[in-house]
Amino acid sequence: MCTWVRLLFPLLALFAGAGCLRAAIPPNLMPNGSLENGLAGWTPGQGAALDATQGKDDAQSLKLTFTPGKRADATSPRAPVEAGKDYLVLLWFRSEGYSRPGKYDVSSTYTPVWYDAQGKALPVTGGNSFPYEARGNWTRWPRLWTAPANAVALGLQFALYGRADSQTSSQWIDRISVRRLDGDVKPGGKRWTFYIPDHWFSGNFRVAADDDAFQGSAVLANPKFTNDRGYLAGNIYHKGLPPGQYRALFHLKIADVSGAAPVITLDTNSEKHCGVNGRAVLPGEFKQANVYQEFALRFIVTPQTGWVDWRAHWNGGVPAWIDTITVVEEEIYSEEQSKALFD
Amino acid sequence: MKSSLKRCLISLGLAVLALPALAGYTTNIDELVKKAEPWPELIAIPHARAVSKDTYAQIYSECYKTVQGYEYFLKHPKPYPNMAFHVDNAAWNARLFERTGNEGYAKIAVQFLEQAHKLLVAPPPEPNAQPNSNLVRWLYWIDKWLQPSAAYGAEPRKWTQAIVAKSCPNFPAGNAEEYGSANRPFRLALIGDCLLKLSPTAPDAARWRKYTDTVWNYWWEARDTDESTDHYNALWFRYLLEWIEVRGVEKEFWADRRVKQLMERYLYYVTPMGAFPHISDSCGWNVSWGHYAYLFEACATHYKDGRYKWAAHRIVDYSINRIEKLSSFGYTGAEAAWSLMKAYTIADDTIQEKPREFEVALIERRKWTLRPWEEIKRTALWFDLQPGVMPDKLVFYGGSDVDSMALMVDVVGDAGHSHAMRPTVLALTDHQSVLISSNGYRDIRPVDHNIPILQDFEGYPYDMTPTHFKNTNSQVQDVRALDLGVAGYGFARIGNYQGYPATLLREIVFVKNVAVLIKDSMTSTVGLNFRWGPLYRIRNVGPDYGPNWVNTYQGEWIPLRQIYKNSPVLARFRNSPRDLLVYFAPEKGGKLEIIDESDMDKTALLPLRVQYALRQAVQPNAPVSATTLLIPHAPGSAKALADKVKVTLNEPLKSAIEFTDPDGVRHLIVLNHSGQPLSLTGLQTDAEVAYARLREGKIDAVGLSGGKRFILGGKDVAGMAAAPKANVITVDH
Repeated sequence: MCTWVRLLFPLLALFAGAGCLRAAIPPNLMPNGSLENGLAGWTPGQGAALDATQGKDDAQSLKLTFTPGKRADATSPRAPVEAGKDYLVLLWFRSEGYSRPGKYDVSSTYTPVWYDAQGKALPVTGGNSFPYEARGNWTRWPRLWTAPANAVALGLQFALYGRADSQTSSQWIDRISVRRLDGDVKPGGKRWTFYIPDHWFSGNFRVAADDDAFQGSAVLANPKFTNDRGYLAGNIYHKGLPPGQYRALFHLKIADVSGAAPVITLDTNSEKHCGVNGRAVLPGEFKQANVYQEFALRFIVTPQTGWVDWRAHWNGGVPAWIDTITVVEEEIYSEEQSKALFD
Repeated sequence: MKSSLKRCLISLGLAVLALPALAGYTTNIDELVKKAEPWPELIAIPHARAVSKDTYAQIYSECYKTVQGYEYFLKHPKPYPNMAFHVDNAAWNARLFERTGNEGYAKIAVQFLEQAHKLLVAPPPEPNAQPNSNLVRWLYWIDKWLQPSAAYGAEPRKWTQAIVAKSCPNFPAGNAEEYGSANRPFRLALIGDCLLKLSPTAPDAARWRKYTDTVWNYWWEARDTDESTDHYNALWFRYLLEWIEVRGVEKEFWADRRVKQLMERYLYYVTPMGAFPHISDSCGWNVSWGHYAYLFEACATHYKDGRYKWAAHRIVDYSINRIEKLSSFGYTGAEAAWSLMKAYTIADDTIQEKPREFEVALIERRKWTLRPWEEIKRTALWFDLQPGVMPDKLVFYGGSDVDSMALMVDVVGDAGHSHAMRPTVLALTDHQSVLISSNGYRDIRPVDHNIPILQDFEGYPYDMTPTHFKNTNSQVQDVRALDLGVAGYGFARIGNYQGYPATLLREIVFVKNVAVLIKDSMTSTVGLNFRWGPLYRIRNVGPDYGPNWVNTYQGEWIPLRQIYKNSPVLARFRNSPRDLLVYFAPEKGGKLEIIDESDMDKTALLPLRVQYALRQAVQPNAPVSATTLLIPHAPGSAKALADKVKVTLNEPLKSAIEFTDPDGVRHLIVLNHSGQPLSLTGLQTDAEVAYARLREGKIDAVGLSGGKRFILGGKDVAGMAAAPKANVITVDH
C-alpha cells in the first residue's frame, strides 16, 4: 500500500465521525497495484517483467517490452468488486518507442477482466487503448467502470503489440488503484444542459421536429433514410469543470425496444485522459418505445482532464432520438480530495 | 393522435414515428404574461427637430470629455503600457486641432505620441505595448492633421515614423491577406495605402501596392459590397470614405453614377423613425448609427440631395435621444462620435431635408456567388462577382413622417455576414416603436428568425449546411414589390426552403400605417409529416392572448450585446410604447405556441419564439398555407382587435380577411392566385391582390393588382385604385 494511503486511513477514521472532511476517500481495493511486493498476484506474459529501476514514486513498476513481431502482455491481481457498483480505476504509465509519426502501428491496451464467484472471466465487453504516441513522462490514466452482473472481482489485462516492422517499444505501469465510487446527484448542484440540435451532432443525421423533445426538436437517426452509423451527439468539448464527480444524463428515445443489440453507445471523452467512461444502451433498458428516458453516465474530472465531450453513438437499425445531454454535479473535490484520489 | 392523421401516417408508412397529440415543450403563456416587462407609465422622449452641425459638435464634445480624462496618464513617469491607447488619444486631439486650430489640442496630441514612442524605446513586457498594423491608419491622419502645428516639430515626426515602421514591419501575409469588396480587405488595403503615403519605401512596399490596387480595382469594378449586415456595411463605408481620401480619388468617387446608386440603397434602409435596422451579423439595433449619419451627410453634401440630409438627421435624432448611455459601448458611443466629428466637417446645413420618393420598393444589389470553401481557402476571396443584380431587401414605408409604419424583409442572395434567412422580417416599426426586429449576431438557426418554421418528424435528410458557408438553401427565386397607393404588396418565392425540396411563397400586404398581412404558402415535392408555420421572435407577451392570437411588444429597452449567447448587454436604445397584435388565421389543428428560450441565453435580445404550429401530413406538390395579421396598437389589451378579425376565406390559393384597426376603420384584404375570379357573398374580383378600406360605412380607399374588377356590395370600386407602381432601387452593372 502506498505511503499516503497508510497515513491517510487513520486520519480519515479520526475525522470522519466529526465530519471534518467532506467525504472519505474510498480504499484502494487493488492488491499490489504499485508493485510494492514485486510481481506477487500478477500474471506476467511474454515481454513482461518487474522493473526495479523506475516507478512512479519509487523504483518498482511493471515493464512491458514489445520487440518487432512479439506481443507483450500481463494481467494484474484482482480487486474485489460488487456487481452494479461503479469503480474508479486509476493507473500511471509512461512509454518509449511506439508509433513513428503518422503510422499508428504500435498499440497498447488495457482491458477490464471481470470475474464471477467461480473465478471465471465474464465475457469481455470492451477494451481501451493507451495513446499511440509515446509518453515520456508518467501519465495519470483514470477510468470509471461499472461492475457487470455476477462480477465479484476485477483484473486488468495489459497488452503491447505492433507489426513485424514496428519499432521496439516499452511501457511502464504503476500505481494501479481501484476504488468504489458511490455518489448521487448533489442537491442544488450546478447543471449544464446541452441542446444537441444546436450543432452538437454529426452530419449523418438531421434535426427533426419532435413534440416530446426539449424546445420541440431532436436529432434523429432514422434507418429509413440512413444506416450510416455515427455520433448522434458529440463535439461539445466543454471546458472548465472543476475536479470532481459528475454524471451526464443523456435524454434518449428509440422507436423499437424489442431488439437485443445495443442501439446507442454512450461515452465521456476528454482532452487529457481520452475516454473516461462508456456504456452501451440496450433496447431492453428503455421502459417504452417512443418515450424519452434518461440514461446516466457517471464520470470524474481530474485537475488535468481539460475539455470533456459527451457522445452518443448510434449503431444503426432502430430510429433513435436525442435532444439534450445534461451534466450534473455529484461532488466537487477539495484540493485534498483531488490529491488523495489522483496524485 | 387524431385518427385521421394517424391513418394518413400509416398510409405513408410512418406509423413507427408516432406523434403525440400535445406539444409539451412549449411555455405556459400565463407565466410569460406574468413576467413580461411592463411599459412605464410615461416615456418622454425628446426630439432634436433641428439637427445641425452644432448637434454633431455637441455629441463629439461630450465624448471628448471622456478622452480628456485620459490626459491623467500623461503625468505618469512611465507610459501606460498600451500603444493603441496613446495613438487613439493623439488622434482625437489631432482631429480637434485640425477642426479648431487650437494649438492646445496639438500639444496634447504630441504628448501622447511621445508616450507611444517611449513604449518603443523601452518596451515594457505587456503585449499591448507594441504597435500593430491598425495604428498606421491613425498615424496617417495624426501626421496629416498636425502638419500645420508648431508642436509637431522634427522630433515628433520622427516618433510617428518610428511607430509606423514598427507597426508594419512587413506585409501581413497569411490569414490577414484577404480579398473582396468587404470590410476586412478594405481595412487592410486602407492600412496599406496609409503606409505607402507615410513611408513610400516601407518594407514590402511593392507587395502592399499590388494588394491595395487589387482590392481597389475589384471593388471599383463592382461598385458594391459583397456583405449584407448593418454593422459590417457601416465599417466598410467608414473605411471606404477614408480610403478615397488617402488615394486621392474623392472627385471621381463622388461623381460616379454607380457609387450614387450604391448610396441610394442604404438611404432606403433607414426607417422613418430614424433607426437603422439590425441586419444579420451585428451587435444589434441601430448599432452603427454614427457611421451612417456621417455617410448620409457626406452624400447630402456631395449630391446636394436633401433626402440624405433627412436620413442623417433622423438617425441622429433617434439615436441621441434614445441611447441609454453614450459611453457604455464603443460602437454606439466613441466610435459614433468619431464619425459625427467627420459629419460635422462635411455637413452642409444649407441643404434642406427632403423625404424619399418611394414608399414601397424592391432594393437590389450586384450579384455575387459564394465560392466553394476549398477555393476560398486557396484564393482568400469569398465571393465571385456575377453579371447582373440580385434582390436585396423589400421595404414598405407608410410615409416619411416619424410615426410612419415601416417593414423590411430580407431577400438578399449570397452575401458575407448574412444570416441568409430569407425571407425574414428584419424590422417592423410603428409610431417610433420597434415591434419586430432581428435576433443576435450568432442566432443563426432558422427558429431565431421571423420566418416560417419547417421541420419534418421523420429525420428526412434535408440540407442543414450552416448558411455562413454554403448558401444552396432558401434561394430567392422571384421577388416583387408593388405600391398600390394605400397599401403595398410584395412577395418572395424561396426555393429549397431551409434545405428541403420545398418552395415557400411569402406574400405581404402592407396596409400603410395600419397593419401587415403575411401569407406563407409552402409546397413540398416530397410527402412528409411536417411541423411548420409562421414564427416571430418577440421579447414580451401580454396582457392577453387567445387560441390563435397573442399581444406582443418589445418593451421599454432595445438591448445590444456582444456576439455570443449570454454575453453582456453593452448598450440600450429606449423604445416608445406600442404593442403588436400577432393574429394567426385559424387553421385546423393549428396551435399557438410560445417557447421561452431565456434559460438557454440569459441576455437574449428576443427570447420568445411565438409560432403557430401546423402539424400536417403534406402531400407532394400540394400547397399548404398559413396567414398572419400584424396590427400595431397602443399598449394594452388586443382582444377587441382580435375579436373583430373575420377570416372569410383561408385557403392556400385564396384568402379574404377583414379586420378593424384601432381607430375603428374596417379593412378588407383579398389574395387570389387560383387563376379564377373569386366570388364570395358581397365580393367579386378577378384581381390577384385587392384591398379596400371602409370608413364610416363607406369605401374610401382601394388598392388593386392583377385584375380589373373589384365588386363590393354590388358596386365595382376598382376605379378607385391607383395604378400599381413597381419601384426598384437598383444598381447598374
